[in-house]
Amino acid sequence: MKKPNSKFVKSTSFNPWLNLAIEEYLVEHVKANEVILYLWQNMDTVVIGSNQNPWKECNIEKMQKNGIKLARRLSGGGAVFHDAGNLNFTFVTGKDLYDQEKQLRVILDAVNSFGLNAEFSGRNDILINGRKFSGNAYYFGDDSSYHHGTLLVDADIAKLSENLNPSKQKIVSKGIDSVKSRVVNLKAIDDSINIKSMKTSVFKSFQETYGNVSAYTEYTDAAIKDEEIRVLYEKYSSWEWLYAESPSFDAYYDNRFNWGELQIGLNFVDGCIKNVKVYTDSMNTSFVDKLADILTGVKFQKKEMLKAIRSATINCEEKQIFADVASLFE
Amino acid sequence: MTTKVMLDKMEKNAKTGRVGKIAKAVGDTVKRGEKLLQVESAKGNTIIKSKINGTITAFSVTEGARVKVGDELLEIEKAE
Repeated sequence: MKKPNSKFVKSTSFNPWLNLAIEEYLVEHVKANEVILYLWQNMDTVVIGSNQNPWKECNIEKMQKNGIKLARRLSGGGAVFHDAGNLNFTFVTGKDLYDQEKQLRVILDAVNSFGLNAEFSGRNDILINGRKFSGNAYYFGDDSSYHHGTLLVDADIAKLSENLNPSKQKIVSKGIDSVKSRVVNLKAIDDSINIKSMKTSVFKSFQETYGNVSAYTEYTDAAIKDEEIRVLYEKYSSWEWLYAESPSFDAYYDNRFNWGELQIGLNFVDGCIKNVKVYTDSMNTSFVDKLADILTGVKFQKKEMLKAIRSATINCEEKQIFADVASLFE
Repeated sequence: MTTKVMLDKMEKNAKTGRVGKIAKAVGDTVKRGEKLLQVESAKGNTIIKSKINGTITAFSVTEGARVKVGDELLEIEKAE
């Protein structure tokens, strides 16, 4: 086979939705004989897999409070945390040029050029002394594919674990669940490693494997002005993509109040409440149907659910019950 | 004419996977090239697209279902 035409693309934006839009743009436009190395970084973001449920994987309330963005990628796999101490790489290739082992070798060589001894785990992770510093995921389109991954160089590990932990709701998801791993920053192993030196090393290793690059493109925040990228950006930043693309799932709440035991089971399709099941041992059951009616069709979003609860027409006896239900969703 | 959409092969020779997001429902019309559903294996995420224009008449799988190569996924009534 003829040597592939290799290209290098980098983004200086830290906006996850824009960077993912650029990545999809690249996979849509890559030519059959091309291999592109794309390097990018996101500011504080949790990125979930294509078939994941954000309510199950991360603490959405906490993320909103801490100003951490949620993003959904095209590839499979689990949830990861990105910040400025993490470097992302993507190999975008024409279908026939996709070679996972070769691509992983580029990354392993880049890391090991610092004198380290990293190895592929076989479970899509790259490890050093048994601890993960890189997670990899894959997407296959009709004519092209991509393989991308993270490199924890100097990420905030405390933030990582804080935001990947789900909140108190019990979620049963039909999606793909994440697998927790022990993680490590490369800088903690060798403090000469930083984002800049790692970028240089990955680029060098890429050229050693695929030959000198024939083109170099740099995207900035202004990439959004490109019509095609803007449309993709709108998708990646939309509620529909972030939440409604989740496979159907269920959520449960239960608590004991002074008027009785209450259990609420919600079933979701496309991020909206489809079925509501309410169980109570309270003497007053008039609220059960009312509650089911007002919640059906509402988005699974605290604000929307509270709005529905508060706008219900209720009698005096139900007042306390509805206030307690609202406290469950708070 | 009804056409069965099968999981004929998965990327990188994966044999089994799980059904991810199903993008369509029974009764929906689909165009050639439109996304039907996703199947995720340990090797990655694959989008299954329609190869014909038509109307979906049945799904043989649900979200979260385990599937293997050769399994039937859905049926499409081909548009005349």
